[in-house]
Amino acid sequence: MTNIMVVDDEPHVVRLLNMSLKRAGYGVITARDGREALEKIRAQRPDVLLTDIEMGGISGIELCRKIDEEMPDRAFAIYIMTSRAEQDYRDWYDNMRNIHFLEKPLSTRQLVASIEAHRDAAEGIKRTGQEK
Amino acid sequence: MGLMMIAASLAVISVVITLLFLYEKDAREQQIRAQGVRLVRLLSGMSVPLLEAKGEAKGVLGVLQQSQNDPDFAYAVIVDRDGRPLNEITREGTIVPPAPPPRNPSAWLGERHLTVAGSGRTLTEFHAPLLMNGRLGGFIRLGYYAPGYRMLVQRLPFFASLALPVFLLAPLFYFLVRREIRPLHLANREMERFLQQGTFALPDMAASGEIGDFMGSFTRFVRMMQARVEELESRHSGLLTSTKVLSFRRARIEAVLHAMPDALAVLDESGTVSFVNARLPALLGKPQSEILGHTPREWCVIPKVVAFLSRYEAAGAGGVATDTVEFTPPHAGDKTLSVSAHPLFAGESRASSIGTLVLFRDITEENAGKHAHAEFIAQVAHELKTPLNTLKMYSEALMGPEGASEGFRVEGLNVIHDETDRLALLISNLLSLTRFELGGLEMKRQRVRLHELLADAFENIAQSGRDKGLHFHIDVPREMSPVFIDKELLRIAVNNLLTNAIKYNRPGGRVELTAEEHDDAIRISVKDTGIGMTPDEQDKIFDKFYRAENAQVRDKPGHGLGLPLVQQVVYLHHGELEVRSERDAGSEFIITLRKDTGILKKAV
Repeated sequence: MTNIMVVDDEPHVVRLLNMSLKRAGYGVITARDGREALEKIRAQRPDVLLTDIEMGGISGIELCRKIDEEMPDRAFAIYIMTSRAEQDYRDWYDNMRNIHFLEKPLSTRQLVASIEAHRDAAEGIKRTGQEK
Repeated sequence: MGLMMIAASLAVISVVITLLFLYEKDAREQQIRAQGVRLVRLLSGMSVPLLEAKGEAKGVLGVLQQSQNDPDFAYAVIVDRDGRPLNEITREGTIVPPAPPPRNPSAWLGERHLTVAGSGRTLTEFHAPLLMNGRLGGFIRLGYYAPGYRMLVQRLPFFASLALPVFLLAPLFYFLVRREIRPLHLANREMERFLQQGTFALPDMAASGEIGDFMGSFTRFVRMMQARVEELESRHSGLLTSTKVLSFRRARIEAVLHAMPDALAVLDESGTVSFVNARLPALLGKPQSEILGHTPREWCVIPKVVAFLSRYEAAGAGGVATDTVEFTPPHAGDKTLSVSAHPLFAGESRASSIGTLVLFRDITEENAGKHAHAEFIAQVAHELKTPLNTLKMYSEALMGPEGASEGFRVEGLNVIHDETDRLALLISNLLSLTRFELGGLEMKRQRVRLHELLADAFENIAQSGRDKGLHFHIDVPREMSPVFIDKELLRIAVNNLLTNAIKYNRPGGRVELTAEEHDDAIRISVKDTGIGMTPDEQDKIFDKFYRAENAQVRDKPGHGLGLPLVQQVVYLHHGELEVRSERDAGSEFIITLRKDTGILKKAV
C-alpha cells in the first residue's frame, strides 16, 4: 500500500485529506506541523509527502530542506500545497527533484489523480531502466 | 581780451618799429661807409697843403666843411705823421678823439671805430695817407657818428603815423572777431553746462558766413548725437529691464529646480554638467564641486550609469528616447537609485539638442513599497485561499460518497458555515483596513457614553469565552465624560482586543476590561493572563498578517489583521495605543482617547 504523509496546520484539511485518501486506498500518516512531520519521516519514510507550505514553526520549505539534507537518497515524491503561484518558489525548488506543486484551493479528486499520474510515470521510468 | 588786443597791437607796433629802425640803421651805416670810403679815397694821396685851409684859401677841407651836410658827419682832421692834428673841421660840440696814426703802410687807408670820451658815442672813422713833397706827410681822418637813437627821434613822426592806424585797427579787429566768435562762445557755454548738468539745448544763433554754417552743422550734429544718446539710453534701460526680468526668471527656475524632490543635473551639449540642484550632492555622496563642470565619466564610478549617460552624449540630438537605469550608489549600499535622461531642446524645434536633463531618484522606498504591496497581495490571496480550500474540500467530500453519512454532513455544513463566516470577516476587515489606509473611510463621530458601549461589547464576547473556563472581569465607571467617537469603529477595536484576550489565553485564565477617567482623557484597558509576547513579537503585531511563530498562536484561527485594525481605529480617533506584555504572563492593551472638548469638536 502507498503511504502518504499529510502535513498541514489546518485541522479541517488534515481530517478531510485523511478521509479522502484512505477511501482512495492509500495509507495516511498525518502531522500538524513540520517538526512532527520530520520526526515521523525519520521513523518511517512515506511513499508520498503532501505538505502545506505556510505553517508555523517549521514551514513547508524548511521541512523539505531538512529532508534533502538528511535524506539525499530520498525516493518519495513531495507535493507542495500552496496558495501562492508556483513561480514564487522557483528560486528554491529549482534545486530540488521530484517535487510538485498543487495550488489551493485543492480538489481531493484532482490531488489523487495527480499522485497516481506521477507514480505511474515514475514506475514507467523504473521499468524502462530494468528492461535495459 | 581787450587789454590783450592792445598789448598785442603794441607788441606788433614795437616789433615793426624795431625792424624798421634796424633796417634804417643798417642802411644808414652802409650809406655812411660808402660816403666815407668814397671821400677818403678821393682825399688819399693828396698833398697836405692842398687840403689845409690857410688864410683866405679855404682848401679842400674848407670846401668839405661847406659842402658837408651829412647829419652824422663828426669831423675831418689832418694829422702829421705822428698823429698830431694840423688842421681840423668839426661838427659843433664835437671833440676829436685822439688816435694814433697807423704805422703799417698797408693799413694807411682804413676804417676804425672810436669812442668819444665824454658822451660815449661811437664813431666810425675813415683815414687815408696824405703826401708832402712826394712822401708821406700825414693822414686825413674823417669821423662819422654811428647812427643811433637820434635817428629814432628824427623818425618819430613817421613811426607815429605808422603806429596810429595799427593801434586804431586793433579794437576794430577785436570787436569784429568778438562778434564773429560770439556763437562759438555761446556754444562753448552750452557745452560747459551740458558737461555739468547733462542737459543740452543749443539756442538758435544768428550767425552768418562760415561760422554760421559751421554752427548750423554743429547744432545738427549735436541734435543727432543727443538723439543717439537718448536712443542708447532707452535701449540700455530696456536691456537693464530685460536683464532683471531674465535674472528673476532664472532665479525662479533655479528655485523650482532646487525644490524638486528628485536630484537633477543638466548636461550641456558637450556632456559636461552645467547645473546641479541641491539634492544631487547628498544623494550621490559627492561634493557639488566634484560634479559641476565635469563630465559624468569624471565623478561617476558605476560603469552602467556612465555608459548610460555617455549614450546621450554620443547621440547628441534627440535620437535617444528617455530611459531609466537603476543602480546602487557605492556610499549607500542599501539604497536603490534610478537615473533617467531627458534630451533638452531649444524651443519647439526638436532638431538639435541643447543638452540633457538627468534625473536621479531615490527609489528605495518606492521599491520597498512595491515589494510590500506585492507581499500584501500574496498574503491576502493566501488568507483568502485557506478558508476557500477548506470550503472546496468539504463541499467536494459532501458531494462524494461521504455525503451519505449523516454525521459527516452535519460536520461538513458546520465547517462550511464557520469558514464562510471567517472568510466574510476576513474580507470586511481587509476592506476596513484598506479604506482606513486610503483615508476613504467616513467617520461617524458622535458623543458616546463609553460605559454602555464597553459593557455591551464585553457581554457579547464574554459569553463565548466563559465556555472555555475563563474568568471575566469588567470595571467601567457608569459616570464618565462622553467621548466624541465613531461608535462602530471603537466597538470593532474593543471586540478585536477582547477576542485576542480570549483566544491567546490559558485554561482558567482571566480577562479584564477596565476604563479610567483622567483629566483630559479616558483610558480603556484590555488585559489577559495569556501566553503574552516577547518584545520582538510586540514590535511586529501591528504588521498586517503577522502571526507569532509559535504553535500556541498558530493553533488558533486568525489572519493577523485584528491588531492592525485596532491600531488604525485608535489613530483615526487621534488616540494612543499602548502594549504591555510579557511572555507567558499575559498582555495588556491600553487605548487612550481624549475627552470630548469643544476644541476637539471644532478640529474634526
